[in-house]
Amino acid sequence: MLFDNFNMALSSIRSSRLRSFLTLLGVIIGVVSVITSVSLGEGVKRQISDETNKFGSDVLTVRPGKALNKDQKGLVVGINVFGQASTTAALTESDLGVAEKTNNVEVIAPLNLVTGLPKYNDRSFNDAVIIGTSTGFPKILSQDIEFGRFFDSTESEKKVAVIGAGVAEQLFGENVPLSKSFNLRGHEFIVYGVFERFKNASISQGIDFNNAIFIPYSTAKSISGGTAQFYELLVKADSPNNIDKVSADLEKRIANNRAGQEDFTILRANDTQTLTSTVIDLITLMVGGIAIISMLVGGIGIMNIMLVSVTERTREIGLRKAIGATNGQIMSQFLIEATVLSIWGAGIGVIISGLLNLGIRIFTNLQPVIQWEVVVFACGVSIIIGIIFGLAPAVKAARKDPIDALRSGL
Amino acid sequence: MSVIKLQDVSKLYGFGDATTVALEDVELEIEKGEFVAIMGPSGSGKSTLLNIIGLLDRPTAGLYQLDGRSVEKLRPNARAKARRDKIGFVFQSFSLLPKLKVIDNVALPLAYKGRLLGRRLKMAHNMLERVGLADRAFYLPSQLSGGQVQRVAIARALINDPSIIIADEPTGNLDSSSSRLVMELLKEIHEMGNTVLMVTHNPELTRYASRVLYMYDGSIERDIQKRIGNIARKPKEPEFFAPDGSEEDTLQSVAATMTLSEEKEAAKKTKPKKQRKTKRTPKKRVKK
Repeated sequence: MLFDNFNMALSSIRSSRLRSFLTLLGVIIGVVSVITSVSLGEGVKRQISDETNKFGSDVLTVRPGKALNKDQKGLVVGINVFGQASTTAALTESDLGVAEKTNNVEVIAPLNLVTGLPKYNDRSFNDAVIIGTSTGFPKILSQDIEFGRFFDSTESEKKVAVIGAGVAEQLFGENVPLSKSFNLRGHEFIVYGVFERFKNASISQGIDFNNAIFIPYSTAKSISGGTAQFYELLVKADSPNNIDKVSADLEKRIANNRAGQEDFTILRANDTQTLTSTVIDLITLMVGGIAIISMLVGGIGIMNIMLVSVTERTREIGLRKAIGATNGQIMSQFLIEATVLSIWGAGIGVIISGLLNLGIRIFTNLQPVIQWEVVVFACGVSIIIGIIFGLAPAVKAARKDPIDALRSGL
Repeated sequence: MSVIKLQDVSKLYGFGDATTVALEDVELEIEKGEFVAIMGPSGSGKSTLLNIIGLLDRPTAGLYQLDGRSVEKLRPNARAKARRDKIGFVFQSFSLLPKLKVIDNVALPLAYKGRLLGRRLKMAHNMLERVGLADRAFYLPSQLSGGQVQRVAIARALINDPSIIIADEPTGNLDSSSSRLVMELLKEIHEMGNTVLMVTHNPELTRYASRVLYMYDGSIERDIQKRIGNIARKPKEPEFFAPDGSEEDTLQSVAATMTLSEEKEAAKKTKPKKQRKTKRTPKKRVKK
């Protein structure tokens, strides 16, 4: 009987395709938005965590401004999202100096942003980011130079540059523009090397290293008016085991150097992760919550259409009752129909979110991750909603008086 | 033992001032193997009687024994099961579910009984063979003619081997030739020993019946046993139709209806049958 009801439900859904589809739309949109929003959130989180892992667990990041509140155990208890915007006290060369003296530090790379538009012959590249850094940079990132080499310590005052693959293509129009020179703020720079393409487009920093031009920070200082202001120091410890020690030491030294003021943040790889993933989790939760509301609306749509269906099929209900259907059998017929509707909706929703995921992966640099738990949850919720909202029409059908039902003119 | 036994069955609709009596103290026994035709003008209580016998409705008062079992107090689900197992319905129109194939329509009562699919289809196929429509088993009802639909409905009514088949104007929507086919089929299943109860407006069709009931205003006025093959004679006008008394009587009765005392009002409400009698008498007169 269950199987018959199931078939019957399918055929009655098929016989009014457009109406059924419109009914399903609410459920479909609900399922798609739940799955997509959660998978986007999860994808972004993983991308960021890949990126921080790229730095390695033995790398510390020092940033100006207080971004995290930690308790005594070093756990993050609060996040100040706008902290960096409110501070002007960038890290200075003397901060770099004390940081270099810290024990167990293997290498340090400061990052210094320089404004300017690079020009090559009559071409220019608007999206270029010019970063002043030190010779340790490729080592900290574990990133290989594909052509040429990185500048060494003897060249720290020279006007030399190592470029990302994107710059090579966009500014020079070729893959290997070695020993070519370009103009930046009236100075000629010579290209020493080209980075291998960075796999993950950087999200956390807001900078795409593939579009970056790296120059020695001393040179950067001299062409931009004499002071070096670092937006970030990357500090690599000699071993991951010493990371706590280095972190504590670094914090004390820099604080000393800044006259005791702790207006900077030392982040570990997993701290940056916590920082971003907490924010992303919150946003995901919010969007997901809104999506569940749309599932609810979908459920009401199902109820509406089932009520119409019950009224339309009054005569059928009368006939079924006359030939011996019990109230329970009529009820289960309509309940199964509502359930089948919502299962269809969930199924179509899953397929569409799969396609949407593919589209996002192809057309943007985001990589959403669909987790099966989320799919099961979204489908489960939509089916449960279908059953709950199908209950009232089913009860209405079951309670119909057979005589009145048979007499109705439909 | 009689298949159906009604004792003092009454059915009232509404309450208070709006009470109408659809059936009044009906006594009826139908023996196994009878072919009973019910005739009567609309509003005479035929459908109500059919609904009560068919367990679709409950009598307001009275006793009803189906197959020797008292059924007037059964709960809805028990009545649904009794309908499924003991009663086969053939309706005037919309007898089949339009979205189900013919064979599934026939097998539906078995499905409600919980029979397995294979067995259901086999039994339904046999039944379709019996009504001569086995070749249409996988058609949809919309692809059949009206007569064929009714024959399929008869097959469905027979599938659970019911105690009685209730047909409510089975040929009401059919032309005479398909009507004949359907009636021949009913006759055939009657000859096989089934009990048939049929409502009809067409006196021609009483030819197939072994017994004819005439209903009027909620009561069975006539109950005629007859030979199958004969058309029942049109019953004589009931006595109250015939002119009686003189013109003065009529005038008096008109005056009486106009100056009805409150007692009579009250009496009229419980017995509207009498009210109608008094109203009709003067009308007849005027025509003459």
